[in-house]
Amino acid sequence: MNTPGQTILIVDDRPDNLFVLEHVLAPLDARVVAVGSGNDALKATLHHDFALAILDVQMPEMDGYELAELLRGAEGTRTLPLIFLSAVHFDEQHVFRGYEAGAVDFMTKPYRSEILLAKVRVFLELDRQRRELRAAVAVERSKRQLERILLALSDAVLVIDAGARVIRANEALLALLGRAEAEVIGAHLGELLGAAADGPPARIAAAFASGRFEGLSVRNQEMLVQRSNGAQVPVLLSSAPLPPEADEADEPPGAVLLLKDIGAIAAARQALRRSEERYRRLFDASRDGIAFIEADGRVGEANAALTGMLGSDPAGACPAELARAAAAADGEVLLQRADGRRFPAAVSAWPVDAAGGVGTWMLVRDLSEERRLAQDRIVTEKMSALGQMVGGIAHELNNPLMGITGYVEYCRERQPADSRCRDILDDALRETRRCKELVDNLLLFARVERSGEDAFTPVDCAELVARVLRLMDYRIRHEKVAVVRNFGAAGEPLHTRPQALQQVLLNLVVNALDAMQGRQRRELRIALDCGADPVRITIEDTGNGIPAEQMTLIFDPFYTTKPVGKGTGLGLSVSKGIIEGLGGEIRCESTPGVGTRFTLSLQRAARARHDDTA
Amino acid sequence: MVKRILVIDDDEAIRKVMLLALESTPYQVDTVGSGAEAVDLARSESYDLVYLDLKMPDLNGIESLRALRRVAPDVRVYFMTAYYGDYLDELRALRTEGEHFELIKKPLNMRQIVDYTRAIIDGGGLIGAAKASPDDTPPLLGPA
Ligand SMILES: Nc1ncnc2c1ncn2[C@@H]1O[C@H](COP(=O)(O)OP(=O)(O)OP(=O)(O)O)[C@@H](O)[C@H]1O
Repeated sequence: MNTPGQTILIVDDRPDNLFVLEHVLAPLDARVVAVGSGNDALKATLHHDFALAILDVQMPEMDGYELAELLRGAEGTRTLPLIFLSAVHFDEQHVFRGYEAGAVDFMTKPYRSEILLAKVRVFLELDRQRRELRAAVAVERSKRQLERILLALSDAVLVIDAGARVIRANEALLALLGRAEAEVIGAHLGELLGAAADGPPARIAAAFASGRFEGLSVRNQEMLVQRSNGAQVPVLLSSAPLPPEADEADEPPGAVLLLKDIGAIAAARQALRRSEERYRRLFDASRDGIAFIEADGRVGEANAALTGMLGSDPAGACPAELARAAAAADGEVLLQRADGRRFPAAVSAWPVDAAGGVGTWMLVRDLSEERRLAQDRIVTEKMSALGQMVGGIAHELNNPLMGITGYVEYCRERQPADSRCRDILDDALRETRRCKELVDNLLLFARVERSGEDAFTPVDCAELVARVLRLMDYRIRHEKVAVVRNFGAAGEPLHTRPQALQQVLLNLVVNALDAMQGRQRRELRIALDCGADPVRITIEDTGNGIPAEQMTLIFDPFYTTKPVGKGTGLGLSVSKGIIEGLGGEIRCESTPGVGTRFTLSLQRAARARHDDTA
Repeated sequence: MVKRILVIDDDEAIRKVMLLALESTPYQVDTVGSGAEAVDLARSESYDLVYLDLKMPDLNGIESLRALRRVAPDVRVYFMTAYYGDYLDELRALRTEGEHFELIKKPLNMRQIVDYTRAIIDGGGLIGAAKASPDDTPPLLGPA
């Protein structure tokens, strides 16, 4: 049997010889390339893969031996079988030289054509076998390589035969299914993947059975496969038919399947979404301001807290304030709000990769509240220390005062009614009474912190205010002050300490009356808003007012503008302490020359700020 | 029989003023400077009214009252004090123990001393408002 495509090279300088030779070889199913010189022969080897060469020995320029040596030396023709033809008899030396040059046979002209033909046939058959062997080895090698690649893939790979049974599976597949190789090899595809009857595996098996092989080509079909532990894993399945073997019919001998595990991707995507959500919530709900500054300095994102702090949404803008804060990394800065107010803030900033360069994450904490609390604490501590000291002294003064009063009264009673001594003892008593008032005020001041003697009870505000006005009735009438009451509708009672609140109201009314002394217009306006929460009480006078520069001082203990011996300067300080102790607020507005208004705001259901069992 | 009053106060000025003030009354007044002396005295003498200071060294007023009760279980006791905030819890405890006492606010002038004392001894007690219910904060009697 001749293999089609075999080519024989014949070389002779005499065309008639070539002609004869071609004729002889004609019965063979082989192509013959005839050339007239060694050089042409060499050229022809560049274009053909010859199965055999027949060389004339006697040729001008390059004889057969020289040509043979050159062929032997070239890569593509090293093993080319050569038959030498010669008109002269081959002597021993020639034959030896011929073999050295790679000859396989020698024939003397004239030759018997059937013998030549028979020899050529043998060489062609040898060549055919050699070629087939080489091809088979190459195929085997490339097959093995392909298989190694498939098996090394990180995606799961399965090779099935035409019966849809598994013949190969890689590590990734075993890991995906959680099975040992022994369980997998030989298993039926449909059963192995545990898919529904109409799922992709079942359809692949059906394609083999029905002969509709286009059904073997599947791309990225999503399906669930069953793991050995029963869990289901989402995968993308692709498959392709194996190419048919060369000498068989064009039916594919099997198929290769690729399963991409997208469970991890789906889980990762979900985890990412969840984490993103978590951080989003943190971002949104954080009480600290958070902002992302893009590489170009623009504010990429800012949370609500920061917007609140700055008084405007900085997103998209490029506020110098934040740039400044970012520059002061991990420090403290004074930031300016949209309305111009400034606040102290602690800023931390750290750089991150961002589109187009380095961006910055910033964390901004508003320190004003912290500062205020710290300041308050200092003030409170100072006040309570002062209160304790003052209280202690006042206490000690009480007994000797009671002694002095008693002694003076004793003597006074024993003086004749219109004696000078009695008058002087009267003066002594008056001065003693002033001392006692001072001590009382000091004690009140000291008691702000520990008002255990005045328990919280529901109080009718209107009633309380009316009582205060009754107490001051004499002075009000005597000094011809007009009182305007605006009590509004009666509301729910206020939960408070009645004695303490009465003390405050009394003090405010006395201050108002003092301020109006000697003034043309004397009007005391008291308004009550009991329906609201907080309950609001305002006490307004038409007195001389308070100059702006003194506004911050009036609540300080011992600050007074009243003549020596008249004011202790404790009234407002005590009042403020009381009201704040009640969880309320006291405010003062004043226009010098026109009048002053004090406003009390009290939570209806206030609780003691401190334990009241002091 | 003449009514007798015992004043217990560590401050001599107070003891003296009480003596001077009550000179004009028919009552017989004794004064001592501590709870311990008071207990000693009360073993042999009996009183109709005891004025008791709260803040005293050694035995304070409350401890003095407990000690005094062992020798004079029935005598009427008025705490005389400028400020009882520091003793509030102990006073409440006394009340819950069933102890009977009243509170009078210092300082007092002579007239008040006389008026209150007369009211207590001859009138059987002070103004109605002075009677505090046991679970209430005791009212502080003071100059009107
Ligand atoms: N209604 C008012 N109009 C004008 N000035 C006021 C008014 N209320 C208070 N002041 C000013 O505030 C100062 C402080 O008041 P505060 O009540 O603390 O003490 P005082 O009234 O001077 O002394 P005391 O409390 O012993 O009467 C007053 O001396 C006065 O200058």
